[in-house]
Amino acid sequence: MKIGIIGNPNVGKTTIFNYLTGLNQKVGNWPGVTVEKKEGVFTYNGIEFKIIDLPGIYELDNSLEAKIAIDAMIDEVEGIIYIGDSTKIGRSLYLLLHILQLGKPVSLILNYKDFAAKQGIEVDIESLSRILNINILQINARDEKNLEFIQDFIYNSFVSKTSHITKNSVLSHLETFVDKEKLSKLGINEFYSILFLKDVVTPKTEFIYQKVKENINYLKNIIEKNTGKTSYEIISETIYSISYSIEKEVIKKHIPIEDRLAISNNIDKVVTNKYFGIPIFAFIMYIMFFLVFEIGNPISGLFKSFFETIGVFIDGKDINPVLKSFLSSGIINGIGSVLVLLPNIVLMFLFMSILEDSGYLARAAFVMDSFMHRFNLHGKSFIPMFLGFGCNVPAIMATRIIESRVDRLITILITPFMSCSARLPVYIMFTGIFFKEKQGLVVFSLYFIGIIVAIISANIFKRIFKDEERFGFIMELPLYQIPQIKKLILHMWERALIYIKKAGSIIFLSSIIIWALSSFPFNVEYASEDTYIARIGKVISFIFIPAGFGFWQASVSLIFGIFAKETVVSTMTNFFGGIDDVSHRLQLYFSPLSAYSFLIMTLLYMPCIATISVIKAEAGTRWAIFSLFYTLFVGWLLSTIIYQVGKILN
Amino acid sequence: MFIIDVPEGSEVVIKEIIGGKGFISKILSLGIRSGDKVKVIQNRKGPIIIVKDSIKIALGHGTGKKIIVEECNKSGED
Repeated sequence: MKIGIIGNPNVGKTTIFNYLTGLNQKVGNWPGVTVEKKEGVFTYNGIEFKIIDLPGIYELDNSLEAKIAIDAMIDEVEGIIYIGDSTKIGRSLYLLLHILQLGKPVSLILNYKDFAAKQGIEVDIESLSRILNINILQINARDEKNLEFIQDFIYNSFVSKTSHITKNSVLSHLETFVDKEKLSKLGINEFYSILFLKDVVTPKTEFIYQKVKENINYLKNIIEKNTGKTSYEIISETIYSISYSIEKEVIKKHIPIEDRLAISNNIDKVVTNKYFGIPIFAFIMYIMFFLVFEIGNPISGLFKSFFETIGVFIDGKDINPVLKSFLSSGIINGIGSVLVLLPNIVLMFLFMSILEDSGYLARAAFVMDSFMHRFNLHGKSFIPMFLGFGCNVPAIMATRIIESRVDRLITILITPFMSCSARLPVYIMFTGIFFKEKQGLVVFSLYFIGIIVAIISANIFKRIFKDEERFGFIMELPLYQIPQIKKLILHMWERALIYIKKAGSIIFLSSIIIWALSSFPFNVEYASEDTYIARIGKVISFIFIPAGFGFWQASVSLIFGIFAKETVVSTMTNFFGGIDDVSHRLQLYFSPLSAYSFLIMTLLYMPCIATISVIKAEAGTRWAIFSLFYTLFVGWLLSTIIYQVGKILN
Repeated sequence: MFIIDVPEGSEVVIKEIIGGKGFISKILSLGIRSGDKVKVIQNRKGPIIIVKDSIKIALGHGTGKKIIVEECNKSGED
């Protein structure tokens, strides 16, 4: 039996989903879009329940998430579990009332029983169940003992006594200003009528919409003429009124509002304080950053020596040299260099979800909003951009906290300009040779230029991408909570699997390609002047003549750098006579000016493969390709400008 | 008066929410609409935090002039 779980964000949907399905879950994407789809299975009393975790939404509107939820509810699931918040009955009902109109079996789980008790909110479950005519279970999902109740409740609701199908008409409340007969003549389920009157049409409802389009438009006109408001507003307000009048009926409040949120408000007074807010945020970010690398690097080191050991083992074996080179230079170096980042990535996700689950992340976005606003950016863009200094991959994944699709896309596209830790070795090598006295300043200037380019790009994109409507962010500040260990571990596990899968597919494939290009023809030295990759380097190196580094070694280093930016260092070292000679030989090719121009290029040009693939996963192939060319162009342009201007000034 | 002009700590009644469909729908679905009594617990003349019952909402830069409010006489109830 297929059941969908739906509800507002922050109602504990994922907690309940995790409890029900444990490790039996599958994370993928909804077909054709990049919204995550989670499915899981559990068996109770011999019945197998397939659970789909639908996106957390506040209402059924035109957002991508809502459209997915609508189509899944119509087409995919046989029953719906609606998760509500005991402390926010009115708002929970707002979405539920619309879903009930669908006519599929729905059961309600009211979470946060404990919070409600603490806030002195008492919900009369029996009355609510009677009014809505559905089964209700009030629980505290964070308490594992509740698991069995939930399973039993689901079994009872959907199997033993299939829950009633309810349709408290919402539209009947519109009778004062709507032609009642015309309304009933529509001949479609009220669920659809409400959607269409709100101008929401999804792929799965398009067909029905076409049939009733004229009648819907007629009704919309009447509503708008009679009320002076849009039919969307009228419908929303009607559902809103019903929701809150039901809330009034079933809720008793024992504690005055002032005291209810006292703890949360006191914490907020400190962390969102005008003066302390930003320093506190900076401190938390610093700690997180520090721990990701401080804990992650030793583990990465273990991974690295593991791969090195395998490499040594393969080198020592008496096997076909082509196979040997393929295994050690292609596979081990390729996949290994990506997998060694796994500990950092997983830790980054751990800290991100601690920040998110505790409720702090929403405050951080609030704190940074004024600051970011000065640069025409969103408060929520700050977090991914900051994470980008560590590694662009988790940073781009972190853009998921931004709801506005346009703002999210912009943040995804500018994050690669944040100088990640993989670029630092290149800076250190070059500044150590060419800018011995001002090393720190030069490195800092690169980070700074990255930020400036990101801000300028964001402003350009803002102009180009038409936002449906530009408004500052509105976001809920959830109550503070202590994150659940189990949920955190599951989340880390999930992320690790996704990352490993990626290393095994796209990165594996590109490693083979790069290896082949730098190995053949096979009678020449690996990555030497006569290999195919050098020939390619020679073909494209003329592009970089205006930027001051138009020789094939630089081009090939940059090509290898796409693989992982650190590779620029090892490739350069290979080309220029090894570790002993490289500082001397590099100076024959580079002047301080062209070295700086090359560093600018390294900073800005093409994100590494892992980043490109995550852009593809998060924003689609089109934007991944765009990002590739855009960053390449910006990198080339800026390094050329710097080289040319520098030449004139000298 | 706009919500951006409300001093921190005061309670007001929302009179009107202006702005496009996106803005109105977002704020409505979060559980706030005209007629509601809200308390402004932070106001930095940019971002604002308001509370209605158990719902706590941050309004980002530029939203403070989209919500028209009026003072309400302070009564014990909510």
